[in-house]
Amino acid sequence: MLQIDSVSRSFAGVVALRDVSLTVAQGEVVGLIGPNGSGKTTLFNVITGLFPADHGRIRFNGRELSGLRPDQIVACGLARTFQTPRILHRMTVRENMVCAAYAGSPLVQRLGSCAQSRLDDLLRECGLDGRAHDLAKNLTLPEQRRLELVRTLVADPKLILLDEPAGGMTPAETKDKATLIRDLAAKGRTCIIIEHKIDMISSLCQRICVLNFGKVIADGTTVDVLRDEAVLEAYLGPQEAG
Amino acid sequence: MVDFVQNTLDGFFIGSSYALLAIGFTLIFGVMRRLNLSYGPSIMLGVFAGTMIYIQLEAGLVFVACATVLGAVLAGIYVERICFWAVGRGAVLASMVSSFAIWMQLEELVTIFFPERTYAFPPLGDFSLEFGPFFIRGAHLVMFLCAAVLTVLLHLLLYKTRFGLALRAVSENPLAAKFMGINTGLVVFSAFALASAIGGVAGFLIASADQQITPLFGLWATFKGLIAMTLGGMGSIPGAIAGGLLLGIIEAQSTWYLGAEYRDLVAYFVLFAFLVFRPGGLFGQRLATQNRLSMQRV
Repeated sequence: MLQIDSVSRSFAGVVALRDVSLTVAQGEVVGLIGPNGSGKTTLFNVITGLFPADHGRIRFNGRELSGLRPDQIVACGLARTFQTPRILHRMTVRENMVCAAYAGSPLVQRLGSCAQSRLDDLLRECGLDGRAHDLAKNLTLPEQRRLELVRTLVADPKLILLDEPAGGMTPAETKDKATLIRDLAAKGRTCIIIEHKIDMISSLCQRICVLNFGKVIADGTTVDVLRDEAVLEAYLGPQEAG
Repeated sequence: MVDFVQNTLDGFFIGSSYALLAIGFTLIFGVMRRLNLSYGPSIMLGVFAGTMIYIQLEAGLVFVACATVLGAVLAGIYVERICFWAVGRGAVLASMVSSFAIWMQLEELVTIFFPERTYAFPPLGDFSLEFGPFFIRGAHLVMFLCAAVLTVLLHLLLYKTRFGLALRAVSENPLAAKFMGINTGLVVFSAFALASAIGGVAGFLIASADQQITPLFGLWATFKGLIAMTLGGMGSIPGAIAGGLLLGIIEAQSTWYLGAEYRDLVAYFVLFAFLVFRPGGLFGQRLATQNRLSMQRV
């Protein structure tokens, strides 16, 4: 479904991604982990068209993504969330959803009753139906994260990139979030998850890819990767890992 | 007291045209968070397009109005492509400086093709209303009505259409809008065209009321729009309306009580006082506070 071939990206001489290659098959839930500054979010930014790659190719369902704008990439069926939820604070929860529903559709098209009820269903599924008419800025952080996630679902994406979906959450909230993501995966959606909470990653992902200094240092099953010496060294340092 | 009320009425009606200029500025500032200094000159170019077909072809008022709006929109699009789209979203200073350069360019262009000091512009309506001791010029009344209708239409566009929803999304968080699938470049382009069309209507109304036009109109329109927007609160549409009306009233009162030569001086003094004591303007205090807090975080 997603093929990343030898992608590199530098910022003013600092290499953020170094020859990164990764393939994600349909239905997979892949964890993308690594120490701070290892290039995880940069990889998401390059995939979703926020920055162009200096070298390499990215293909999604056979379509070349290089050169496409973020909105065109969304239209291809690839959605993402951010570390800090990027929601529209001055709009209501429902307006956030409607905005996403309108995006990319023809100018004259109006939301039909079918689409309206789908938005209501999505809000209900993520537990935000009671807050549909509240301003998004009044939501709690977990609710804002849920809104951001459910908003991506409006466009019915095939692949969702989740950037620290449980960042800043309590253990109970993290558990709820993991359940929500598990439900998404059960419905056949492909996900790549950046997360520092290893418990959450190991409970959700069958496969983990590890980045360090912009380079892939491990890619394999969750059990194997979490025992990998290079991974332990990247996280804990050479002495503790040994 | 009669004089005071009459001046307030005059200022209110003239201020409605300033409100339109400020709305145009606000739309661009709201979406881009950048100042477009050549907003006034692009309106001026539209007004000269109107005056040209009035003088050369003796066109009627409707055609002159259409030519003015069309000219302003085309000039606005030119400004957007050169100053904002070409230099990229992050280049705040570069876009402002280049909009100043385009201002000079447009003014030179008009001066070359229209070498006379002033040109005639068709009048909007040669009637007046009197009620009791008070008097309203017909042109000012039409100006106010057009401004009111345009403001209502703009409100409907912003809050009842999907374009308005996209515009508000881009204005609030361009990055989020992009990843919601909105073509932010197209929205910005459309906002420029819309702001220029509103400016074109304002330019037509003002030139019709004055029945003449000079190449300095661009400078005048930029200053009036900018002052009105700042008084009302940068980025706020209700603020732009309030700021325009307030500026009109301040000018009318100062002209009457201090003399015409003090009119602009008083307006600039009030602007300065606002910038010192209420930098967020009448309606933009929250935005100013947010900006201040974000600067503290940096």
